[in-house]
Amino acid sequence: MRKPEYILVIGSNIYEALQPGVNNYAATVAKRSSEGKVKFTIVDPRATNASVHAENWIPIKPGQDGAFTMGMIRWMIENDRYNKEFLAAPNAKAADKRGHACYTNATHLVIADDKHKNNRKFLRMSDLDPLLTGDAAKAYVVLNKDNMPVAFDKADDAALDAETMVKDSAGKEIKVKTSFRLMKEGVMEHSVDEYAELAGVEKSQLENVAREFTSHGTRAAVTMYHGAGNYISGTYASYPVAILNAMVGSVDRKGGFLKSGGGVAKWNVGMYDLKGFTGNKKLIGPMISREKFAYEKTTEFKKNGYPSKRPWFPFSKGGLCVETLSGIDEKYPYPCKMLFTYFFNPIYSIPGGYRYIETLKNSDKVPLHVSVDIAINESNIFADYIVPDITYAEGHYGFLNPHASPAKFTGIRTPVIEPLTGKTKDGRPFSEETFLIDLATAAGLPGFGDNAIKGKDGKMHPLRKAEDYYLRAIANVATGAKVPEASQEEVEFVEKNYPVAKFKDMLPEKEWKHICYAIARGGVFDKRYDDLFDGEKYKYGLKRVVLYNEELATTKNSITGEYFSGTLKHTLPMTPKGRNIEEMDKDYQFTVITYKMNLHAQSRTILHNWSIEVFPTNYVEMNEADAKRLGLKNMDKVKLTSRSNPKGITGKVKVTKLIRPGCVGVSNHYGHTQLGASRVPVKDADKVFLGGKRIADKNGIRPNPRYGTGLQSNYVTRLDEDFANTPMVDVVGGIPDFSSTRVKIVKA
Amino acid sequence: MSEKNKNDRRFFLKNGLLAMAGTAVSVAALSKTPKAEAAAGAKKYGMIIDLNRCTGCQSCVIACKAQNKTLQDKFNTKILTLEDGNYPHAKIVFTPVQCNQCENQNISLS
Repeated sequence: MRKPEYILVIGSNIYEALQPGVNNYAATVAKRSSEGKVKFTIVDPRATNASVHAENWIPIKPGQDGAFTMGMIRWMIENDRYNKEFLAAPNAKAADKRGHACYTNATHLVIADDKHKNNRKFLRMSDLDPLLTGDAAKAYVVLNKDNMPVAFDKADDAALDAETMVKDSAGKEIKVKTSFRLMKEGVMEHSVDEYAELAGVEKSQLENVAREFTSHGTRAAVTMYHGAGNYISGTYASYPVAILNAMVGSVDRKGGFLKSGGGVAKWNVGMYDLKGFTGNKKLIGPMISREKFAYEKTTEFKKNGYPSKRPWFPFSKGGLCVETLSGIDEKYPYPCKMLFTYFFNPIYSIPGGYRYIETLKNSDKVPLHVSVDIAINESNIFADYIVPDITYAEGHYGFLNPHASPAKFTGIRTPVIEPLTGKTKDGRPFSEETFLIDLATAAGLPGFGDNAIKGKDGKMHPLRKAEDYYLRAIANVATGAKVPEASQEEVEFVEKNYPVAKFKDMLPEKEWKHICYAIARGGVFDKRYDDLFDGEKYKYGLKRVVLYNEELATTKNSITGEYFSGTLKHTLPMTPKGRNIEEMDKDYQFTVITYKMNLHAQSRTILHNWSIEVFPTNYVEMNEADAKRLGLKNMDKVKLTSRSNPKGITGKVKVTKLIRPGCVGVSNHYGHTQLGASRVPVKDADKVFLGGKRIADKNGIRPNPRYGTGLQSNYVTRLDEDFANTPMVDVVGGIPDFSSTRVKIVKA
Repeated sequence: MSEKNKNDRRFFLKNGLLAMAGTAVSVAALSKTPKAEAAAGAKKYGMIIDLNRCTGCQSCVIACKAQNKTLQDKFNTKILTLEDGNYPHAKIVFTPVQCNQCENQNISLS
C-alpha cells in the first residue's frame, strides 16, 4: 500500500475492515490517494466507504469475481500485456537475475497424458531417467530454447506457452504442457464478452480495468479479501484474482503484491518448551470437519465409493467451523461426545447458522457443550455450561503476527487492567485459562501441574496459572528476537503500569528485563519498512507462485469422484452436488451481500455502547431503482424470505445509489436476540454479571432494546438440501457461502 | 461524471480544506477537558482534519465523545455522509463536522 501506483480492490472493504485495519491500510491509501500517488478501483457489488477516493467502482455481480478476473487475464494474453520475462524465469536464480524475489511454475511441464501413471502431476526428471536419485530425480522439467527437456534449476530461460511430446529413457513418448499453457486453456474457455456478461459488467469496464492494471509495470497489485471467493465454487473465483499479480510480475516486489512478513520470533519454543511435554498424545484419524484428510483413505470409501455422505476437504487450509458443526449434526464421520466452544456464536455468525439451533439443542448430537465466552449469546444459550471469560482489556490474548501486511513483527498483549471476573480461592481470575488448567489437573492430564514446562536448561516449571504460560512465551519471543534488556526507566514504567508485573518473580531478573523491553513497546518491532526489501525485492515473500497446483490437480471431489482442476477454470457458483442456486431460486429476486462496518467487529460489538450510538441500527440497503419498482421508500419496513426460511426476517429499507440493482446489502452486526437483547432468567443476575444492577435484577438480565435492533441476514441464508439442510460450503475449501442467498422482499 | 464536474468538486474540496485548516487549530475542534482535569494542566486539544483524506472511520467522533463525555446519543463531532453522482457512477462522500463550541459544553450536534 505504500508504493503501488494502482490497486485493484476486489471483495475487500479496505476503509472499514482488513487486518491491519482502518488506521493502517486505509489511512495509508487515503494519504497517498490525496497526494495523487495511488489510484484504485473497487470491484464489489457495493460501493464501499473507499469509493470516496476510488478512481472508479465496478458493481460486479456477486459470486463472479472469477469471471471478471478471468476476462482480464484473457484480455492481457490477447493484447500481449503481461510480464513474460518474469513468468518465463524457470527458477529462483533466474528470476533473481531479472529483478524478482520470486519465480512462478509457469514454464514447468505437466504430464497431460491419461495413460501415464503420473498424469496431472509435474513431469519430474525421474520420469525421463529412472536412474536419477535424490533432488536430481525430483527436479521439475522445462523446455529450453532448443525445445529440449532440461531440469528447471539448470535453465536460465524456458518456453512459457508450449506443449510437446518428450521421450522417457525407454523411448516412450509423454505428452506434456507448460503450466502457463494449461492455465491459458482454462482462461480461453470463454470470450471476454462472455466473462463480462457473467460478471454482469460492460465489456469496456473490464477492458479498461485490465488496461489500467497493466499500465504501471510491477507497481500494480490486487487487494482481495473474503468478498472475492467466500462462496460456493469460491476457490476458482479467488485463484484468478490472485494470479493477476503474477501476470504483471508484481508479486514480492515493492509496490506489488506482498504477503505478511510473519513474526519475529516463535513464542512456543526457545527458552521454554511450550509445545511439547511428556505424555503428549498424538491426534489420530480425521477431524469431524473432514479437513486435510482424503476420503479415499477411509474405510467408508473402500466400502461405498463415491459420493461420500458429506464432502471431504483434503486441499483445505483448515479451520472449518461450519463443517465441524455440520459433521456434529450428521454424526459424520463419527458422533461428537463433547463440544467446547471459545468465543464462538455459530448460530448468529455463520451464514445459515440458524440451522444449528436444532443441533445444539439436541443432547443426543451434543451430549455436553461447554462454552467459554464473555456473554450469553444466541448459541451458548443452549450450552450446558458457560464459563465466564475475560475481555481483551483484562486478558493476555497472546501474540499477533502481521495478518496481511508486508511487515515483520510480533505484537504482545498483556492485561491492561486486573480481570473483573470472580476469583478462585487461590486468587486466579475466572477465565478460559484458569478453567482449562483446573479441568486438566482434575482429570489428571499430562502437561499441567508442577512439572509441566521444560526449560532450555532442563529445569521443570509449573503450569498452574495463565501467567505460567504467557510470561514464558513472552520470554521466548523477547530472547528469540534478541531484544536488549530494558533500561531502568523502562523497567520502572512496566512495573508501575502493567498488571502482569506482579508475576515478575517467576522469572530470572535478566529475563524479566528482556520481557520489559518487549512489552513496553507492545511487542517486537525491529524492522523498518526499508529493512523488508533488498532493493525492489521483498525478503519475506511467497518465493514461488503456482499457476498450476499439483496438489489441487490430484485431489478428487469426494462427491463426484472427479479431479479438481489444477489451474484456472471458470466455475459457476454451484453447491457440492452441482445445484445452481441462481437458477433454482430465480423467483427470489434479490441476492444478499453482507459487510463489516468500521465500528463493529464480529458478533459481540453490539455491546459497545458508543458504536451503537453512532450507528444505532442496520438496514436493508437497496438500489433506488429497485426501491422505486417495489414502491418502497426510505425506512419502510420490509420482510425478507428465502427458500430455506419462508418465515423470514424484517428490517428497514435504506434506499441508496451505492449498491448494484438486484442486490441488497446488510451489515453483519445487528439483529441480536441475546447479548442483552432479551430477558434471560439467571439467579442473582445482578450479582454475577459485570454490569450489575445496571443490566440485571436478581431474577435475570433485563432486556435492552438497543441491543436487539436491526436484522441479521444470516438467519435467511440458503441451506443445502442435499446435505441435511446445513449451510452451503465450497466443495474444495469447505468455506461457507456469503454471496449466493436469494430473497424475496415485500413491504412488512 | 464528466471531467469538468470532477475538477469542480476537487476545487470545492480543496477550498473546503483550506477553510477548515484556517479555523481548525484556533477554534474549531479545541476541546476543553472537564473541569476536574482542567485544573491540572488546562490542556486544550484540537483536531486538524484533511478532508481529502477522510475515510469516514469515525475515530474523530469517538475521540470527541470520549474526551468531552457527551450524553448518550449526543455528539459534538459528527461525520456527514452523502451519496454523490448516479448509479453506477456513484460514490460516498464524508464531511466531518464539529460543533465549534468547545468552550461551551452544552451545545450538541444531535
